[in-house]
Amino acid sequence: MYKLLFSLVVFFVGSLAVSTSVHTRADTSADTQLFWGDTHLHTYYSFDAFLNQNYSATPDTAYRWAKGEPVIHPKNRTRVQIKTPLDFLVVSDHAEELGVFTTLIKEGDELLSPMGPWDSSVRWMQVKIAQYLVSRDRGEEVFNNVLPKQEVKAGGDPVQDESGVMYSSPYGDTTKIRNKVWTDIVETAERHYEPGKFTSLIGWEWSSTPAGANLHRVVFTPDGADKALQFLPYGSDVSQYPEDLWDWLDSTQQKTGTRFIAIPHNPNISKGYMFGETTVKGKPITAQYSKVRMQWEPVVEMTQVKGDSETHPLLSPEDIFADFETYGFYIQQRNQTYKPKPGDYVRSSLITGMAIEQQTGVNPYKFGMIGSTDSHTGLATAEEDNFWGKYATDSTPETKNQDIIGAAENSGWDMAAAGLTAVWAQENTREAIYAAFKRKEVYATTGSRIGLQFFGGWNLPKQSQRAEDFATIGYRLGVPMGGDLITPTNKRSPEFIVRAVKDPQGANLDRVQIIKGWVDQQGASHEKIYNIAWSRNRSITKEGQLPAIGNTVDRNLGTYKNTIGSAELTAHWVDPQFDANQRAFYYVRVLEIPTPRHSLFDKIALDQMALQNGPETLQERAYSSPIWYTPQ
Amino acid sequence: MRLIFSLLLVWLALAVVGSKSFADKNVADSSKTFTRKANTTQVFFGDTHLHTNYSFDAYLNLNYSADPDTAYRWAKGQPVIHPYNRARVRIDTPLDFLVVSDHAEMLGVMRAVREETAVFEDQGAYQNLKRWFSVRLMNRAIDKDQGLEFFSRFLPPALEVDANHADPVKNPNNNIDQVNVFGHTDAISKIAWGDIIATADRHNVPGEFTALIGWEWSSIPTGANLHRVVITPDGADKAAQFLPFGSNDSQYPEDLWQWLEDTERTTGTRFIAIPHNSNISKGYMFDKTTLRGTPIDAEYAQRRMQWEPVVEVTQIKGDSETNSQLSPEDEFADFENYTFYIQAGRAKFVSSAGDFIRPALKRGLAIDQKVGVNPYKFGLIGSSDSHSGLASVEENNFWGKMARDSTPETKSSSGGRLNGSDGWNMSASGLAAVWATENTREAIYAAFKRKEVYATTGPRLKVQLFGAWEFPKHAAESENFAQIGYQYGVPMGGDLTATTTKSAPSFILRAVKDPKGANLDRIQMIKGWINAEGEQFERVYNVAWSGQRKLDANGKLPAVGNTVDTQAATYTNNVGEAELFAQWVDPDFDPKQSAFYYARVLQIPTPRNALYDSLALGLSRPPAGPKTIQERAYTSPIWYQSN
Repeated sequence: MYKLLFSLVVFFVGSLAVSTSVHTRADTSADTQLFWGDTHLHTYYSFDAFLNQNYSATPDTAYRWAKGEPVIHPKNRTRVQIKTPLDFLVVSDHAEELGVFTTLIKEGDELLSPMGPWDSSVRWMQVKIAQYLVSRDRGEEVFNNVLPKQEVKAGGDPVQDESGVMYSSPYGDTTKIRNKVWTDIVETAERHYEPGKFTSLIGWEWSSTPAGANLHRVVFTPDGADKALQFLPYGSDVSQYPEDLWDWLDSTQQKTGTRFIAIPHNPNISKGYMFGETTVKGKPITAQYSKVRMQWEPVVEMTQVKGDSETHPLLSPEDIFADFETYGFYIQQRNQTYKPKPGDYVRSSLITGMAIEQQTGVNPYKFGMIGSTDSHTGLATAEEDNFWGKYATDSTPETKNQDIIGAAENSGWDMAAAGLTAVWAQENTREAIYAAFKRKEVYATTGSRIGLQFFGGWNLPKQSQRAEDFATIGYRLGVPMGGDLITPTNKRSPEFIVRAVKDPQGANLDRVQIIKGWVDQQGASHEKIYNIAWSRNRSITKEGQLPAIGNTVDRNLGTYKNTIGSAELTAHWVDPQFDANQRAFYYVRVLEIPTPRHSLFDKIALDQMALQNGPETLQERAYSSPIWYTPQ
Repeated sequence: MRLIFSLLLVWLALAVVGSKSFADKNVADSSKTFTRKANTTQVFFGDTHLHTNYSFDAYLNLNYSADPDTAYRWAKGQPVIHPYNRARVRIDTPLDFLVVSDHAEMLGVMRAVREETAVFEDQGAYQNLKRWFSVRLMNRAIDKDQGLEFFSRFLPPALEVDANHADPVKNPNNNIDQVNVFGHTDAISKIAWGDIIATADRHNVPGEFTALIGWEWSSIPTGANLHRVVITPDGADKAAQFLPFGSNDSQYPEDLWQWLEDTERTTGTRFIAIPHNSNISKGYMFDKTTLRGTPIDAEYAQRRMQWEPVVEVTQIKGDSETNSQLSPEDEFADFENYTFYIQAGRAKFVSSAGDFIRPALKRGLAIDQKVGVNPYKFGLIGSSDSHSGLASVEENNFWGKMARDSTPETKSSSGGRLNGSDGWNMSASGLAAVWATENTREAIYAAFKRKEVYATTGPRLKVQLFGAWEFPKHAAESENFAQIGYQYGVPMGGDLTATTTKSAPSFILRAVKDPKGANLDRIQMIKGWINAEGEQFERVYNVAWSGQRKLDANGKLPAVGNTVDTQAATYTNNVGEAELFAQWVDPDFDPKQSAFYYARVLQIPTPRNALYDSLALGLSRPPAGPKTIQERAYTSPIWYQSN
């Protein structure tokens, strides 16, 4: 196998010299493999994880879980184990108060810097109160006080809103604590890095939530401790503007040589600010802004425990699968009616990006897509029947019902057991995974290990989707997901080949869809969904819809059967409505047959008659990074 | 490989054919049980020994919530809430049948007292006061998390094994007065029993899932475990006519049998009693004499066999096949040895032939030779004896002996302070496998009666064994394996009667791995026999194995190898086979010597439950027991009786 791949590489490299401009990236080749990981995981060093009763799951626990070792759940103390181990993991604790509560409550305030007598006594009281509350498992009260308040005036720069005040630590200078904790995070990542076998990436989360608008970014680096120990993670307690984060990344890269990627997530609860038509400050998006943004943010995390950010039924009314793990709870102290905005979802934002590009020449939202968990238990649990909570507190059926973020009236029942990052990379190393992120040869799943290959080109042979050398053909004659199609000379329509394979331990596949978004000459936005492959015995109706696959879930037992659906689906597809003058993107969505949602298992365990919210079954899915077409 | 696959397909096809032939299930008379069945039996897996929060010891060890309904829901594959750690748990492969077998003694009393639903009768001022004090004492113990200490009141004192081997019931230290700590409690037990039998009837779905009514008679004089699980194929209409017979009624098995006989006569209820944990019976379970020390006569042996056709040979508290002291030639003998007597303190474990089924089966032949009836002619099953309400015997999905030892950090908290054993010593075992015509109370009961059952230590090993004086050539690899087996011979549990021919008995065996589990290492035939002088012998024959291994001069086979990654508690099926079969003729047969033959199937090594927990705790090795084990199946024997 290896030898064959190798000779294909040689062949490919040889052919590259004579190939044309379709190939935007000389470094891709047919020998990529699929690796699975989570880029967004919190341990007990995150203030909110700790205050929600994760008192024991350390970065070491996180890596042991990811590698498949049995570990102890931080709250219910049972032995838990991932079913299919991960290939890589980013421990991404909140930069703000990094490890401060954990250290103050477990070890006391010895590492805090001296303050004046009044401030010192206030601080002493604060520490005592936090210790008292945590000792009674009431840390959530501290947590809720730290959350932002609801915006006073909607629509403006949320950072400047009365309620958008930046968090400032009541404990004064916490540098010593954060230093110690960061060193542990970095060194634990180094210890668990096994090139070729398991990749640990060093990272953190910048948690800007001005006036409840979630602008969070996970930042990670492919570099090691030698570089990462030269700085402390940049938090939203320094600035809540993403531009300032990018500035810091730029200057830190120049100073220390550390490379970074920032990954926005939960745009769904950004109140429209994540992918706005303007910057957060309300200024027009310039070519320069777009370039800087794309330099740091090639990829977006669009599915995770706090819901799916592909699209919303109000934004994509024609899409019968749009209402998937819809999460309508802002991160703030009080509940507020959820209003979906185009800037909240990736599909509408990919279109917005092209419209801005049409005006300014650069697309600020030309991102690839991944999923990750954002789990705060130290356990990357995206398996539906092995989901151990958003927080440690909501990990058991009987504790699933409590409010878990502020008074947003959400609970464990609203959470999704999602998602995963899939990466097509040459090898399982920090460098190779970083390179795949940079070229966006990545995709998202909602937890299942759905294998997905996707290539676009101008002349992909018919039947090549079934060829044994699928990937070789794809790389040789086209571009993979994340790539660009450049104007053909002969004005042909772009062609795509797709191959989707079910999770080896999971459910069959319902269908493969291509989602196209485009902008016409007038700048108007359009989207369309094409069913391009589906499991047997169904045909498209006159209305262009494919009948539903059916549902084998036994709601009494919480089981399903693979008696419907297909183990593998492939397609060769030509855009039937191509206009060479219109910018367009194409991404693939693969749907599994319906399976039990995590909440169904808990409902059965509680012997309840009905779920109070959320569906009993769901269709897990994969989203590829798009391939863009740009007229020249 | 392809051959194996096609054989599997054929077997599956046969099983389907079998399942369609329910119609003829009740036609045969009991003396000719084997001829009629042809290939219509299917294998069903179940647990005949499970405790819920109605058992006094389960309740006092923190199982407050897992009731019979929880037990059935778990067995059927529903997610349920663990009674101690409150996590959602689920069996990996659901069971086909289950017996909820709570202790008859103080049935439901602890729960009712704690939940303040106890119905107490007026027993006069002094007794009422005593009872009030006991209630207070127990509630205080539970409040202070000292339920275990309260539980220890009911245990026999810490006694060494009696060198004189006298009747333990008559031992002056044998005091079971504590059972009456709450005075008369029949009214409470009646309510619990009513719930147990009604829940069983509700969960019994003929053809899909069988819920059998049962209980445990928990006789333990001076720490000698004589426990029997009693089951009936009958329903709540019959079971509502009596209350379970407990060891507070009598500690002698003869009295239990008498009660079973009387109750059968008065109510029409049928029963089977299943001895278990002979390994910790201090030599009394399969003794040379009766418990009273009188010789075993034909009547005793007949009576015993009438009620006790089957023994539970493997369970959480260890394996009772044999040990290396009794079977020094058997390199697989020391498996899940459990050496802790049920009593309020540690005593030295003294291994005795009366404790293990292999020597007991031999002893039975010898007694038979003397008195004309074999008192120990039993089939073999496994079951869990779990007290968490969850029949959990999957190594990586084992939720404790008691509720409290279900998590890594509390695994050492149960029992250890009492008799030296704790969660680390426990075995995630076992299962009862039944070859029955359908999944119903009647069909499972019939299979138990004819001993067409076998034991596994947890995995769903599918094992078939037939014996005959002659099988057609290539019968073992035949597509019609079961059909040939039933046509020419008898299945496990059956008898080979002497013939005029001088040929040696022939056996066909087939074993298939657990579809979700590990490959197979080997199949062994274990033979026990006696000579004319009544001397007892045993021998282990390797009859089928994986790979290219060769037997040495002594008939020993090299080890299969161990693929377990002890850092991750994983294994690969790179060694072993998915299926093994053999056609074997006893090479040492002497028609003048009575003998039994049973098959033992060994899996390749896999992680033991304790390894997962030790890794979760970051320990370099489990505090007790090995890191890996070879799970196994034991068939019921086939007997040959010389003239």
